[in-house]
This record gives sequence, C-alpha cells and structure tokens, in this order.
Amino acid sequence: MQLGSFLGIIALVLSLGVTAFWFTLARRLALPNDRTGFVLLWLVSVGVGVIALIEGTNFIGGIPPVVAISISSLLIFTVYVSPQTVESSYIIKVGDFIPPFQATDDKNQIFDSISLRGHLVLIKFFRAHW
Amino acid sequence: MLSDYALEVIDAFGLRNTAFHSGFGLDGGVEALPVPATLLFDSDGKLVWMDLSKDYQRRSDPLVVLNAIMMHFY
Repeated sequence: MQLGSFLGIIALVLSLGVTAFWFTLARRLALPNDRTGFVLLWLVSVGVGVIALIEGTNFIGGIPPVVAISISSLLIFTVYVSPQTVESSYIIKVGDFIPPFQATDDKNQIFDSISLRGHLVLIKFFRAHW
Repeated sequence: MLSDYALEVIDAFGLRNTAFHSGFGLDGGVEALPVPATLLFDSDGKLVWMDLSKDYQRRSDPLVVLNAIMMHFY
C-alpha cells in the first residue's frame, strides 16, 4: 500500500471517529462549551489528509483523504459559525412578563397566549420543520 | 408545538438570531431563526428562569430545566 493511501485511511478514521463522538455528545445535549479539542483533532485529520494527497495515492486511495478533509472542514466550519447574535431593541429578561402572542399549532389551529394565564409555563424555542 | 414562520413570536420575546447560520436560505426562505432558548414563567406570567444558548449547537440539558422547575416551584 502506498504511504499516501495509508495516511488517507488514518485521516478518515480520525475524522469519522471524532465526528461520531461529536454527534454522540450532541444527541445527549452534552456538547462542551469549549470545543477546541474537537477542532484540533479535525485539523489534524485535515493535515494528515493533505499530506496523504501530497505523498500520492491512486484514484481509489485518494477517496479516504478527500472524504476526511471534507467532513472535518465542514464540522470546523459549523463550530466557527455557531455563536448566536441577538439584535433586538428588546430581549426578554428574568422579571419580565410573558408578552401576548398568537401562533399556529400542528393542526393549523390558532393558539392564543391568553390561555396560559394562571398556569406555570415552560416555553422552548428551537428550529424545526413539519 | 407551535409554528412561528412569520417570526412574530420570536420578535415579541426579542429572540431573533441574526447570526450567519440563521435563516441562511436553507429553511424554506425563512429570514431568521430563534436563539435556542428555554423560558420558565410562573402562574402570574412572570419570567423566573431562562436558559439562552450562546451558540446554536448547545441546547438546554433536560436535567437543568427540571432542576429549575423544582427550584422555583417546589
């Protein structure tokens, strides 16, 4: 096996392993605040993948490093763009009262927040599709 | 579960996320998304606890939310 092909497989195994661990933590809602370790390991896999391509591979041997570079680069990018930016003249804070609102439920019925009066309320905002 | 396609509820709470990854044309043309947040109101409608994510990859741990409920109401 060419050295490049061997390094390419190393890059892919590292990339997939770190990514699998990442998503395992994400499913458990346990991603750490500091993701430097993940980014460093993905950078290592990108570096090893690049070295693999430089060392030279055949066509099939070139697939693992390219996949490793692609996956790791994408995940690094998602970490880089993850910070939130809230730009609003008003952001609700502890002590404020719930603002009145209406919205549509999954049965296309209108929900009015007035129905929440007198109840303890837990509201969770997230992105989703249906 | 409620839909807020027009972003009216998000804006009423001031939780519109304008960062790069928000509404990046990948959500059927939605121009922005909410900051992932969990809010706890008492029976008078007053906000007593809030967990606001600093980035979209981190969400409220259910145990943290349960602990907040227990702390404020039991």
